Amino acid sequence: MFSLVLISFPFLAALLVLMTRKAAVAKWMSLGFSLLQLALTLIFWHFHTAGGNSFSFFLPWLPEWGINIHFELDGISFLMVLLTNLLIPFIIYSGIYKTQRNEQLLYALILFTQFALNGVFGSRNAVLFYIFWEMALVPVFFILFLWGGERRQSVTLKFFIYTLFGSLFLMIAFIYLYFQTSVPHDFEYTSFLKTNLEPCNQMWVFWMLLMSFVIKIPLFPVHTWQPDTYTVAPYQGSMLLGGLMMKMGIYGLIRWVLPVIPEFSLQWGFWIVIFALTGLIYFSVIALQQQNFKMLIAFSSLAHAGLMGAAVFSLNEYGLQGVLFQCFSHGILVVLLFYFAQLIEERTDTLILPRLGGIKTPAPVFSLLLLITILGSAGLPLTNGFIGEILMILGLFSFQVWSSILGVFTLVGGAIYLLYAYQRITLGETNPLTIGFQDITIREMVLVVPLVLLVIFFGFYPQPLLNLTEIPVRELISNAFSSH
Amino acid sequence: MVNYHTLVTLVWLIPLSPLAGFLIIGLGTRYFTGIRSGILASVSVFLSFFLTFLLFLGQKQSAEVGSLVNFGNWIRVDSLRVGFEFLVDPLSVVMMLIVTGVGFLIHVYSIGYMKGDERFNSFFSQMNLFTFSMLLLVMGANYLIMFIGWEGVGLCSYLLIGFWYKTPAHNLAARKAFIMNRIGDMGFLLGIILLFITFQSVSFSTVFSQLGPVEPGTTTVTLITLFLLVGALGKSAQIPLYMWLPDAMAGPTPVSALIHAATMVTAGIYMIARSSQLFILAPFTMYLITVIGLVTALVAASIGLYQNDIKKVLAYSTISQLGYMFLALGIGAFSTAIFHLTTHAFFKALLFLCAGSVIHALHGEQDIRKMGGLRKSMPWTYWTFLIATLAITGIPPFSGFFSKDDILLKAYAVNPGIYFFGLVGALLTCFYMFRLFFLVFGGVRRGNHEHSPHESPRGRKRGSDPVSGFIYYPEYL
Repeated sequence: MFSLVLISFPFLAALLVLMTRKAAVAKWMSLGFSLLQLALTLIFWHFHTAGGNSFSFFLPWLPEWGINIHFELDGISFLMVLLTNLLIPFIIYSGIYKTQRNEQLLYALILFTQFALNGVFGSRNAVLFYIFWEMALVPVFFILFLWGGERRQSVTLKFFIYTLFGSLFLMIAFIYLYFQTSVPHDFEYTSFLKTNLEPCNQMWVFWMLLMSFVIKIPLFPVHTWQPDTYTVAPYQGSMLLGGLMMKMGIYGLIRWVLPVIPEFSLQWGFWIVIFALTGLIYFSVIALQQQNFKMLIAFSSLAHAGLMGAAVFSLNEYGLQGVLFQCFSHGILVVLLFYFAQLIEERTDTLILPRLGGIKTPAPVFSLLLLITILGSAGLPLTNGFIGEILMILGLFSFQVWSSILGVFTLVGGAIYLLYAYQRITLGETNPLTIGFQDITIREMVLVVPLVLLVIFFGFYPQPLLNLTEIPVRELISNAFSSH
Repeated sequence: MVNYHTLVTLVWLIPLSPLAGFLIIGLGTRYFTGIRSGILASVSVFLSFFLTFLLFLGQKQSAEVGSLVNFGNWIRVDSLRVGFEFLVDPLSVVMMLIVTGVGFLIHVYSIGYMKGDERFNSFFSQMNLFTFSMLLLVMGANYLIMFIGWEGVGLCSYLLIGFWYKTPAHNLAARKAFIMNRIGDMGFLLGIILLFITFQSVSFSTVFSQLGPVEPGTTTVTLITLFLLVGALGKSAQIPLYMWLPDAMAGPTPVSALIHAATMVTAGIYMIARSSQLFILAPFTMYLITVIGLVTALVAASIGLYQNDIKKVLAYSTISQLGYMFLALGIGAFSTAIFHLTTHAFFKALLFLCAGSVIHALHGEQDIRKMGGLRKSMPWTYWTFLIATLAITGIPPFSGFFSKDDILLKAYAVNPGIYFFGLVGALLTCFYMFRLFFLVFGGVRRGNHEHSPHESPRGRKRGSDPVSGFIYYPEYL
């Protein structure tokens, strides 16, 4: 029951926001609702750790098809839900002092995304999961199309085609798996776990599921929609995509691929690690060339995703714990980075790095906060970025020694391109464009400071999050891979 | 006298004090401006120094070899258990004494040196952050805590090299230093991970206690030590990762003295000495360390002969001296390496501080061809510089003689060839140091005569005096 409340509350909020007359009311109301949702999540977290309660909810929907409304929030799901509900208030707040077109709709769509994401992470029935998965795409699609920048039509189309294919694969694979469950067939997650597939059939189900999730992350070579989309989307859209939607793909791999088709994950994991790490190197190199800050964030995000994707298939506790932790910290960092990009663009009307410079002189606090964010992204110890990276590299090392050597490249590459960006933005002499750069205001600090504090807090004390995922990850590994 | 055990439990105060200084100065920018921030920063480091000194005295009396203090968990996943643990043993106490002792004096010196800089307080907060990181590095009882400090000092070095951020060249130098360090750090991190996979622990005591049955020359141990060596090469500016250090001289001179001469660059030597039990099981790595150390000592000294920038000469001299320490490590003379590290920290810091006084006196002139005849106008600096020069060239009553002689002696015992090349290096050192010395202080003033040089103000002198006092006392170890 609790999980139903938690998951459906944003839906009600979205409806209420949509019905308001005044844009200002809509904005503040959505912020209020999202904060309420965050408070609710934190209370649940308390019960979660106290009693090990996973808030199971089961309601038959179409029993003859085996379709049920089945929610369960184990540690892995809860971590994702926590991340979603933590970031949404900040994403809403990031645009609250801006005037945009049709704000009722925009904020309702953001809340609707929250609803869908909560659903994706909580569902334990394949059809329910699929419905939420599709629902999560719709609002972002609209946000991109209605509020995006130049070239939004073509970019939205590309994004749409990619995700459509991904969803198609997902649907086919789920239907196939449905027929492999014991009679009477059903779509329950637990039944999927028990399926015994023929090796030859396993292969294509595995590839279909894999493609649908990998497109979402995205990993090399199905990434081409991502840089364009991140750049063209309005800032709130980029934050949703980079901070949250990307984690859907990672979550999908961990929840619906590894335990459902363990043999093939074990057999083909090697190749996926190769592809993911190729992408990591490739994107790091491209990120070095970027002159547009938003584009640089997009490629840095892709490079990080490469390491995360590889670490998923390291198939050990370090790797998986690291990925989940990194999902959380990357979410926070990416929202911060996009927000800084937004502030820079609002003040100077440009994101071209060589045209900026010297911001540190008029805006020292802004530069300091940007520096902490950048160091977090580069994985400096005692920031949250480091914990995830070291665990993932440790996981990869246990898997294959050379792969961790490639994985370490994110840390070096990240330091190079991120510090390049930092240097071009803040250091050097001021120019006419940046001379009047206003330092960060109290209103902006309301967003930046709590997130920056979280970056440092989880760098010092990562255990609350690691504890959350510890048992589910261990169970997942022992159930799926102990027999091999 | 405070009880030694009480002191050990209070050991967290030592890194915390500069951290608090960093936070207070960093956050209270409105209240801690100008001289106040400098004083606060110096006091916070002095507090650490004082405690370390008590610890040092206590340790001499106490029979304990080392004590481990744990302050809670940091990361706990599967069998990876990392705590905020500190190790107090003779090696870490020596390093702490250097960091806080030299650090304190350089803080005091900086109050005078940085006077009038518009970002005076942020300079001191960053110096405090550096001291904190460096203390974590030397006090950590496991490799990951060491790694926090390891990366932290890299960050502070980045910030402080690029302290005058308006000049693009400084920023480039800062970024170069950070990235080359990071490349080394990645080797170190891989080494730590391999170490963990092999021994299921990253803490020194657990790892070293499992080394008994390990055969010397095992591939795994060789690999671990090679990875660790990459980290040490980056941090301690050895061939091939040495190019960043000369560029790092772009930072303010006290920074060069503290970070790029006395403390941070010696982290690699400390790390290898700390892991000595591991390294002696890897003869190949030891051999490599010897070769790298010797080659670096000679090459850097030869480059030093041609430099005309006063700080660049000293930078190459630092690289060359670090090469000597590597040489000592490579032949298994770990305590000799630490001994040379200690003496070098004092005399090289002194050289840099004197160089800073000279540069200030000449209004930013760094080219030694344009200096000369400063003996008259700066007698104080003249004498202190002379003492330090005598020390670095290894003239008997000064500390440098004992440590360098010890290295060469041990090298002779291993291989006369190494001894011979070491001696050549020592002669080169002598040549470039006295070239520097006479060009700066001897003869007559060349270059423009618009500004008359003047002796450094008292604040700065106060800093460099006690340093020169220290170098007479090599009885340590």
